[in-house]
Amino acid sequence: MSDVANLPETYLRMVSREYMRHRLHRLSLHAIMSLALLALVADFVACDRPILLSFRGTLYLLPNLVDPPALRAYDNQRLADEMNPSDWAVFPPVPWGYNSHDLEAVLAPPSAQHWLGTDSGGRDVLARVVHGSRVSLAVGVLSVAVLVSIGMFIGSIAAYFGGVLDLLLMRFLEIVHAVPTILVLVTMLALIMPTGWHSVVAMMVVIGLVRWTDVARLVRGEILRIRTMPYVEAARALGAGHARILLRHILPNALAPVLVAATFAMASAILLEGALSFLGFGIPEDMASWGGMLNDVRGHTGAWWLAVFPGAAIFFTVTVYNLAGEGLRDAIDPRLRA
Amino acid sequence: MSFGARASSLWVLALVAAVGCTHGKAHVDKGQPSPGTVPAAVAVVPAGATAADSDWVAGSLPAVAQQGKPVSGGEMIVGMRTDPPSLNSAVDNDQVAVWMTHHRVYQSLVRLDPFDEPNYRVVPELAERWEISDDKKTYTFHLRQGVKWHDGSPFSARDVIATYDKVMDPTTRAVHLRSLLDELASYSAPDDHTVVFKWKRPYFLALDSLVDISIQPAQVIAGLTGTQYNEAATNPLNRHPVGTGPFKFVAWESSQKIVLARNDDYWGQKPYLDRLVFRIQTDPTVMLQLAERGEIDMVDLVTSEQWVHMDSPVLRSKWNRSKLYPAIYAWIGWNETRPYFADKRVRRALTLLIDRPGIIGKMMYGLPKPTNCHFYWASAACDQSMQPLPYDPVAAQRLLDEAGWKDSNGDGVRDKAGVELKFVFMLPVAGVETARWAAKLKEDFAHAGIEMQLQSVEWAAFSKRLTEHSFDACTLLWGGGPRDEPTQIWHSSGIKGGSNVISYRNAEVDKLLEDARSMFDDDARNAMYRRIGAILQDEQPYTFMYVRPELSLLSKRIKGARASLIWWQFESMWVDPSWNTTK
Repeated sequence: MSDVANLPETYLRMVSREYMRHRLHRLSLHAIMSLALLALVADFVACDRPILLSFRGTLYLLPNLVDPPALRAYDNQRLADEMNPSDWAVFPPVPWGYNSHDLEAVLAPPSAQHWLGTDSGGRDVLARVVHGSRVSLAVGVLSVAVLVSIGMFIGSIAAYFGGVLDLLLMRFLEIVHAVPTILVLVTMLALIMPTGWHSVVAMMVVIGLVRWTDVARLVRGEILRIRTMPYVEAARALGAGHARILLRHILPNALAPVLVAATFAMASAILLEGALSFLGFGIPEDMASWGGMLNDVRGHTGAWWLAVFPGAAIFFTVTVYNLAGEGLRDAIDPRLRA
Repeated sequence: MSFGARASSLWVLALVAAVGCTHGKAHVDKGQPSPGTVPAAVAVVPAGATAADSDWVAGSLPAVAQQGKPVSGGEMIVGMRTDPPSLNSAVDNDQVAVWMTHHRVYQSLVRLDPFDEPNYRVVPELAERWEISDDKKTYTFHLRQGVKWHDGSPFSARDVIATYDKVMDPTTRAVHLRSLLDELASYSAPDDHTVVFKWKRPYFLALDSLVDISIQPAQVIAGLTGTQYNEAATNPLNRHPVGTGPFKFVAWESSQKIVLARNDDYWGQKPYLDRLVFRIQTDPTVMLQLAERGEIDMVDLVTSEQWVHMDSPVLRSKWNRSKLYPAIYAWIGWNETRPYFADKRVRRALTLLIDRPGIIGKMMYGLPKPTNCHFYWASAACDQSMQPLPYDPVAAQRLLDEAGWKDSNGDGVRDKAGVELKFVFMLPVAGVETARWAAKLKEDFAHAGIEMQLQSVEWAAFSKRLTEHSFDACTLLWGGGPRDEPTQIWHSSGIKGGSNVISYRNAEVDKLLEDARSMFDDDARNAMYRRIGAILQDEQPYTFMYVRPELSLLSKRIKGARASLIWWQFESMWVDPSWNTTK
């Protein structure tokens, strides 16, 4: 970073400088961004429809995204078979959707046609790993958003107001903390019985509703410390209300450790989704989820590619989130600062 | 008859099957085919099998692996996947307990002849003979004399009455057996060797309904209250059965093994085996390793994958493999209260859109067998000449167009009168195999302009939604046995509280079912059932999917095994002393 003269660094800039000092942390941040990008463009990487298609005199723009009714009966294979010489198409690099069944290649090992092999339904593992990143990302991000909001709310009012409220909220927190997440999730999902993307949303919300306790504890601890700071007293002396003091003066200063916890929570939410889908309670079979893909290995122990690729995807994602969390923790820790 | 209770026991069976632990019955195998003893049907190589699979026995019973002259002695070890909750199958409706005790330790008044494929007629067991009154309502059973309980005391009509008292006692947990006897009006013992059963109405399965009830000794159970009878603490039979059968109970080490020994005082043909040991091993992989090491003689539940990849030369040289197609089938039900499934053309189109040859052949190793019949597939109740509907997406789309389901609003999904052809397919959570082909259906349906979502539902919720008819489409397995009386499933009276979960109504089917129920002439009744089969084929209220085989391994050391729907009959098996385990 070039000099911004002698101006004191902002906190944010300082933290990001500290974070970027380590190669591993830098790489993990890039990996997270790449994963997010992959989730965004999954339909361009692997899809059972072309990206651009001129077919029988009609030009279809992005049929992979808009799913035109006229092409409902077609997939890449059938289009390629039925195209006239004057037709043309831009196919995605992986010409398979996440629920395209190639019955000619059931449980096929990696090959030129299916780069990472196929599962027991003849579905392309690569296409499913790519699309599975969406589920993982969605589950991670949204459940963490829910749990951070709840955790911050409960943690901050408990610490700020203290007394009986604090006592009650903390006992409540202990109760919630003692509830086994998987059990709650299985029960809730059995009650809601969602389909398709609804099950992802349901799962995210339920994970958020159960897993906020760590964040709440952390926030409470931070605020107990900050509450007695002279600048809080000064704000109070100036006549600021509770909301203003909490939101403007206290919370921003308690945010850094929450960010660290959120990163770790993201990794654990992804693992949890994997575990649930592995057990068959999570994402339905017609969608792609890494945990659900692993479920397939149970009946087909010989098919190593079914274990290795989704397993590696989970491992990689959880690792980079954990590394990023670790980097963030080190970066905001003044004792480690050079 | 109360349909609810019977229905729930059917579903339990179905669930067990879905999890992959089912197995009602038996099968056998055959090493070197010895000319003359192998019925022609056995030689048929199943579709999808290669020449190397010559040791497979197709679903066609009965293969007699009877090589040589039987000799007494030796021990046979059978690998079982679960430990039973108790050994009293009147208290715990557990298949494993039934397999271990029924017709081994305990006996019934009558039984199904296990080797009478495919009819499995009722034959005498503890009742030597019986008379049926002209109105078909009174059955007089003459009990076998000179039969002794394993503890030495004599068997008499008192034991039969004590057993049926416990089964009918509403405070015992024998609900699953009571539901079989809904039509029973009374039972009595005029003397020590005669019992009389009276039925409310003539019912062709009256004898069959006695087959599952093991007679227990009155001196143990007569003094117990219903609650005492249920609990192992007060009912010694729950952990230590005492029966009249060919095998005596010896010991039960929980989660380890259950040991039976030959009953040397048995009234009938005594078993050749000295001891019969059921070894409990929950992990299928470990089970196969035990088999490879020669520590067990029979593996009763082999997974499809284990079956297909059984390349180990050890297994090949020492084991016979058997494959038996049971009386259990997988089906998809289309809820007829939904506007889109009310039209039979739509239901036919959906069946035509299901690539059953592809699903069975490519996704299930070619092991299941396509079916289109509700009854035991080999029985005379099924019309063997009727072919399942083919996979024909073009014809399917034509039918849908014809029925008026066209994409009129251009959203890619067919619709009619403002209703979109969109539905949710409900599956039980444990059905991994089912979920796999269901995802394939989703893709194929989408190509035909039908939108289907999958929904895996945990078992309790699944069965609740079935009875409440709150689903669009669902899939499950039904299991019936060699003879079945399907009123609860197909009669319109089964819609409320029965197993007619899809609300199927057909006046002719109703009538046929009512008539068949009291029809004692097998040929006439089976003709009625075949007529029902033809109607179901035409209307497609279900898409009949397949019958999945039960796969087992039997050591070549064990001889005399015969295939049967009624599970293995250990009485006829013997250990070949010349078989060298080290070779």
